[in-house]
Amino acid sequence: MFGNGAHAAGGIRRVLALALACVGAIGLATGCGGGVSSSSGESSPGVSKDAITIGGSYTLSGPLSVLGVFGPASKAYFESVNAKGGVDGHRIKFVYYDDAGDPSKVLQNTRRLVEQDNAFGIYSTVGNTVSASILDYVNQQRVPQLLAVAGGSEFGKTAAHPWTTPFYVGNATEGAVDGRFILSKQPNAKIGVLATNDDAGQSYVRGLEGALAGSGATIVAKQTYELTDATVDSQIAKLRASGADTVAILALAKFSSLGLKRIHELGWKPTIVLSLSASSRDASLRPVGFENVQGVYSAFFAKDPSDPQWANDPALKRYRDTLAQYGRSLDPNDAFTLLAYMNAQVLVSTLDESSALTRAAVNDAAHNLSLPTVDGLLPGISIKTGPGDPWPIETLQVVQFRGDQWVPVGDPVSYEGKTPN
Amino acid sequence: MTSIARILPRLSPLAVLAALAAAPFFVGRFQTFQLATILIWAVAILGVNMLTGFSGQITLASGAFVGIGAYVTSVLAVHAGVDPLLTVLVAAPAGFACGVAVGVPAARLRGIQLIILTAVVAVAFAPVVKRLDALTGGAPGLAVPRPAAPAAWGVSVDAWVLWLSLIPAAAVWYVGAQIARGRIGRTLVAVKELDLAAPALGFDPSRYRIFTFAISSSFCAVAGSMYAWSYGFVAPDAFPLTLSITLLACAVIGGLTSVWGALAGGAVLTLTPYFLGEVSASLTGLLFGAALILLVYVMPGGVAGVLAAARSRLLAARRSGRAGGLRVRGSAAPEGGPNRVSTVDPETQTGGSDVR
Repeated sequence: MFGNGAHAAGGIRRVLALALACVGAIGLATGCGGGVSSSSGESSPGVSKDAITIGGSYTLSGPLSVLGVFGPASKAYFESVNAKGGVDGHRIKFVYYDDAGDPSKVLQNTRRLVEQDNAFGIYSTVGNTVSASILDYVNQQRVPQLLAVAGGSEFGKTAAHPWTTPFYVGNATEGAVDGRFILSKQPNAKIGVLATNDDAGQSYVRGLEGALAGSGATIVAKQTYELTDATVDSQIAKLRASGADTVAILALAKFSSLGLKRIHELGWKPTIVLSLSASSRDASLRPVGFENVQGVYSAFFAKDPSDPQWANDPALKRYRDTLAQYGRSLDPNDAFTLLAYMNAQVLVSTLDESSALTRAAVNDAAHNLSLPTVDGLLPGISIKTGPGDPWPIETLQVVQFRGDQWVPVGDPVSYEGKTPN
Repeated sequence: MTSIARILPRLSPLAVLAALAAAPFFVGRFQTFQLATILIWAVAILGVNMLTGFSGQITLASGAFVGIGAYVTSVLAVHAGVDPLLTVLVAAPAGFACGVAVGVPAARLRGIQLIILTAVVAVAFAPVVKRLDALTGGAPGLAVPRPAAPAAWGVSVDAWVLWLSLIPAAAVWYVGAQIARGRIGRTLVAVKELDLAAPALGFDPSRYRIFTFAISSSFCAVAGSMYAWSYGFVAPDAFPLTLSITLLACAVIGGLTSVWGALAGGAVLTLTPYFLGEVSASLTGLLFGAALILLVYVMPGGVAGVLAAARSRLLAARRSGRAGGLRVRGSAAPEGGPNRVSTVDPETQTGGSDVR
């Protein structure tokens, strides 16, 4: 496009050509005009007679690209729904772009989706930082941010962000469930925490502290890590030096692997509790060696698709069949793929249950969900939201790693309507 | 023709300003926002040009300095209630001061050591910002009020922000062009080319290096302020090491010693991923990397180099075409066409210097 400059002789024409090329190039995609006026549009943009446009932004490249699977995996499910006639006669047109995990690109993509692609809503931003980057924009524009995969306390604040709904268990609930479980095992536990340095990690610690309040157990050390850290050796060393007898880890798969490996190398034998994001059988535990992580605890709401105990589960069979037909390049054993598939199911149910395909009605439906079953949820766990309580999942099943699989311990623990702030 | 060719380049900055200012009347809100984004990165790339193009130092800290400017604006606006527009007056000297702090040790280093030092600054940025969470909002970031026109005017925030962004951008451009054309620019090039001989000529190279580092950082910080106006949101992860690398690559693509090349670099940085998103969402990152490599390969002198070459060729061709027309009056066209002539006009060689 810069070739235009070749036709310009004088400085002014050369530079003008460059400037106009920029303006013209980005003006290509849509019609002109409207950049100055500040008026806003109708109540159900993105909905046509036979289609509804849903937008997404995913980290398809960069250090967190394992989370990028949410885009294609959701698309696979939407295509299976479209093949059966779509939502109320509307085909789901799912448009998404790469953000490389960069919050400014997430915002850029979101604006592009809303203002240019005319997306009805923004679905499933993955991660706390990424999801937080568009909170203000979508809420100012009154665009539903549906089912963001984020567990930080910020996403439970409906009053502050009425157009945002999460699809995850609150990290504070995770902390509370883990805390209650630790107390039942060791009433005087001395807990060392390794967590992400963000809203998720802080919410988790708050939940844990809340559950321990008034008991003999205490948090003796808190360590955080950064995505750029090569190891977490020094953090683990500090936790050990603090005299902790229990370690709680809220981390992404790679870092929980590094932490577990280090604990094993040191010959240290604390009670270990892993957050959901830290407990993937294939991504977190296998690299450490199953024999080295025996007896580790976690708390789940979803089935682990890599676990052989679900090999003949009818719900996961439907999941595998859908992927085989519409998402052949995806790994069905990846826990994130299943989470995306569940996320997509809940979006479709939300649209189905909405009284009309308008932004307000769908946002309302997302805040009043009651889905007894979603393929991939563990037995005894359901999806429920209500006014002022946007958390869809508030029940967790404590599990322990034995042999080569996660085994349930006791009954599911419910914090329904009681997700700590 | 000759006199017009000399006068027009002086008008071209005004023409670009006018075109950008008029743009919101012709394009939509999102495009207006994209133009403001191009301006942000163009200002940052101009900062990189000052350092890498004129002084020959390579930096991977530019993204962190953009982040510093963005956070100065955000923290002042959110915690002290300062008008976001005025914060640029703090961000620019803050960037300058941080530039001096990094520039002093950097002036003693060359090559790989300098790259490592500046990379450390870039990598340390996010963790430091996260630790200062009382001030910076930590990992989730900070929402900043965007500057808005009085409601009665009915002007969208995006158009308003673009217009406001033109002010610091023009100021930075003016300073950059003055440095590039003036004594300092020549001295910097001399310091770059004659590292060891410079002291013998009476320069203290390290003083110039520190100065360039500071100016460059200051430009990046101004870009950061503009970023906060446009995005209304800052987060530590928005200014990673890869941003610095991308800025450097786009500076090379624009043309390292050209102030206008910076604008082209900003456009490449903003628009390439945009168009690649249409091609394939999953391959955007990969294709963007490939596109950068390809652009550097086909345009080693950057966009500015291509334009300068095209211009000299065109002027030479036009001149010879005109001469040919006089000689063979009445014939349809000179034999072989104008492109056959490859003599370079001495005038265009001198005229080409304004591209630098």
